[in-house]
Amino acid sequence: MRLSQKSVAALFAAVTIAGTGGTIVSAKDQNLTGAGSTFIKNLFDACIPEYNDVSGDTVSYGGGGSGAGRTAFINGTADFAATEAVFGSAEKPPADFTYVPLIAGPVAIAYKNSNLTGTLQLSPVTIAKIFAGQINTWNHPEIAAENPSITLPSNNIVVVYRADSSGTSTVFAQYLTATAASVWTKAPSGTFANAMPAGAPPGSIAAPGSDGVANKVASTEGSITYVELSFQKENLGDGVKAASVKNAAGAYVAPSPISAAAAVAALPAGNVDQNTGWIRPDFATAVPNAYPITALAMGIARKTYSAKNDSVRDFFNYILNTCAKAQAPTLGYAALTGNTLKFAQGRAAGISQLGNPALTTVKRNQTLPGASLLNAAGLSGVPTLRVTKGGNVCRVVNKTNIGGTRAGTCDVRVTVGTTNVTLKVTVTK
Amino acid sequence: MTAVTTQPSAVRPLQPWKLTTAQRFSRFATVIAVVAVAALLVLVSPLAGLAGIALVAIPLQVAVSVARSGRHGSVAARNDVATSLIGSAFLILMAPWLSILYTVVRRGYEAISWNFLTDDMRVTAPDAELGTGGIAHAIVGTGVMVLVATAVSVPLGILSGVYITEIRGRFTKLVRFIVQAMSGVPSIVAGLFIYSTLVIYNKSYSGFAGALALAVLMIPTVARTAEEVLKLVPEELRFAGYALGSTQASNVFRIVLPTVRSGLVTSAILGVARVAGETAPLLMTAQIFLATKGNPFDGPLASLPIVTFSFFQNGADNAVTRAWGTSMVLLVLISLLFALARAVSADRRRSRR
Repeated sequence: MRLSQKSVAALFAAVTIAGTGGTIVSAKDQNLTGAGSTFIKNLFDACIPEYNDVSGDTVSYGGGGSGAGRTAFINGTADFAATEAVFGSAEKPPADFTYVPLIAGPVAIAYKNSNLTGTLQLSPVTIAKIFAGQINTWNHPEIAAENPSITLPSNNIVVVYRADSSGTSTVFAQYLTATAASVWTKAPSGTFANAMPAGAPPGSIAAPGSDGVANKVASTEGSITYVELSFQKENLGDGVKAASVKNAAGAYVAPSPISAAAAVAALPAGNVDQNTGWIRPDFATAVPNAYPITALAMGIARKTYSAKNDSVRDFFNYILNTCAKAQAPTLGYAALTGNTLKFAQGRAAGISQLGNPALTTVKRNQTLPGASLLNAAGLSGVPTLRVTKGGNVCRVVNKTNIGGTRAGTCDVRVTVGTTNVTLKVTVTK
Repeated sequence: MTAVTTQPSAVRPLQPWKLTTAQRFSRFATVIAVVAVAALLVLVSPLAGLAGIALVAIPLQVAVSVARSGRHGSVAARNDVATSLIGSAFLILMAPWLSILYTVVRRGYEAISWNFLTDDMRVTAPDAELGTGGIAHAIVGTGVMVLVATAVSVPLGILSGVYITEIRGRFTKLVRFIVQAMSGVPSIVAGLFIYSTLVIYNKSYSGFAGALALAVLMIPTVARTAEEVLKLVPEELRFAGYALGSTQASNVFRIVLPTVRSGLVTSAILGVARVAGETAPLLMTAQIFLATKGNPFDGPLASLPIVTFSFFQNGADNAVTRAWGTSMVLLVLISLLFALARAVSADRRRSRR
């Protein structure tokens, strides 16, 4: 019974994956433990049962926050982690780790003001002045200048911000630093109070957690905060609305899964770290329909081959290629598209490749592509191949591939530039 | 030889504190009237809700008993006032407890089904339709961890109780002090201790690590309860044992411990009930696992409190209902354990007569 269920599941997986380009290689009953970002937890909650169902693995995600996830990954207690903040200089991740962009999400400027009809439009400088306490009434001339068609009430603005250390605060502070440097003069920090230029404005309120700030805004007339879109949506019934934010193209864009996806679809090359796979969000995006305050959640996994890491790769592929597309719109996330998705798929493909025996095994009279050897060696570029031991077992074909002549093992030296790695290649009958 | 005893026949002692039916009725009627008046006052004043009614009714009831009892003499007056105060205190104490029970059942009953107790969440999303998936993984996980914790802590706890009451060696005071200090250890510290030793060393969360963290919290409860029940053993029993030439060991194991067997069982059950609902130490030792698994040595293991927390974090309506359902199951299991402890200790009292 269990077997037949599994083969049906595997078949289903093959069918689902065939159309999307990813592959689920393993169905090996692996137990995976993940930890980290709570930002991505609702997506994982929806995707993990589906993945467990089609793969036969059991993935469990404990959450705990980005920092806790990075620590668990370093300690080896988590097989994979998720984070919105990069490894700090004091943190010592294993040398073979890679970031994999998994999902994007818009950070909404959420406000409540019953006397304000229509949608508020704000530019980065105005937002910075509001959160720095320099603009403290709703009918301030600078807000009025951006909203000519709206009658603005005269009550005071109550700034609500995160009391705890949070990835959302980091992203929002980074955004203000990048787009309104003249007003936002302090360095970004996960603890928002430390990032405010003149400290917390008088009358402002600190609340813990995304749900905490959203509920505080829902119960406080005239208040404003920054929070992930789904939390603003949950409180829409209580009059919590999201402002449209002016992007670098000069357009006022409302936060939505679509406008956030546009912001991360085509990131400038300078924002992408080819070495680790980290992507900085582009706050100065010039795409007309892109929402500028968009956060990216990264998965962290290991490139060294193991059965577990194989399953981590399958899981990340399942998120990127199948589950995010289906679940993101209803959960308020933005699935990756375009070049960013391609980049993410490339990073995911690198998981569990170092020393993977499948990449260094070839049948007699067949050829092993040099690209596989590159992956197994953890190198990138154009390789030079040389058989250093077992010349009667395998040989170099067309300078780029390895051909097997008879069963046995041989040593192949893969050289890219000045680095070289020697791999043991197995030739089977 | 006949024992001459004279039974005073048909003389019943007076019981002036017992109320006649008429008195009972008048008291009941007074209480009803007081509550009604309080409710009326709350309606016309800015006070609101049950708390408002209680705020008015309780002083009013005391005042009424003072006023009414003036004609019954000072003893009756004091009795009346004391009864009102104690009755009010009872209600105030019961209110939060009943409110918790009511809230858990009202919000959680929808989640409860046969499937909820026998299935796990491996292939079910937390916000999926109620009736699919379940918390068998959490029930089994909590069961396994509590069992291992019991196996570790009950022998240690009882032995330290025996050391304090029977052996009374040089370190008696030290042992008692350490046990008392241990009972004050915050549960999160117990979790950190196991995390920084076992979990980091093994590079893996495990049910066994969770069980050890629970054992750290369980030992003081078991040790102190065991010490209390061992103190109840009459000295004469021990003397009789020694008089018959038994050694201290056989005295302890063949006379003292069997005498309080049910008391020791109670101490174990109280220890279990103490740790079954612990969340903090399990967060960093056992973590969460979505499939039903009984092996405590093979990676993370789910537990009822952690699964409740995880459901609640999801935030979707069905997930929150599942969180309430899970806490309802936990509450029922712990209540059953306490009822069992009461039954066992009641049995002990009866058998000693």
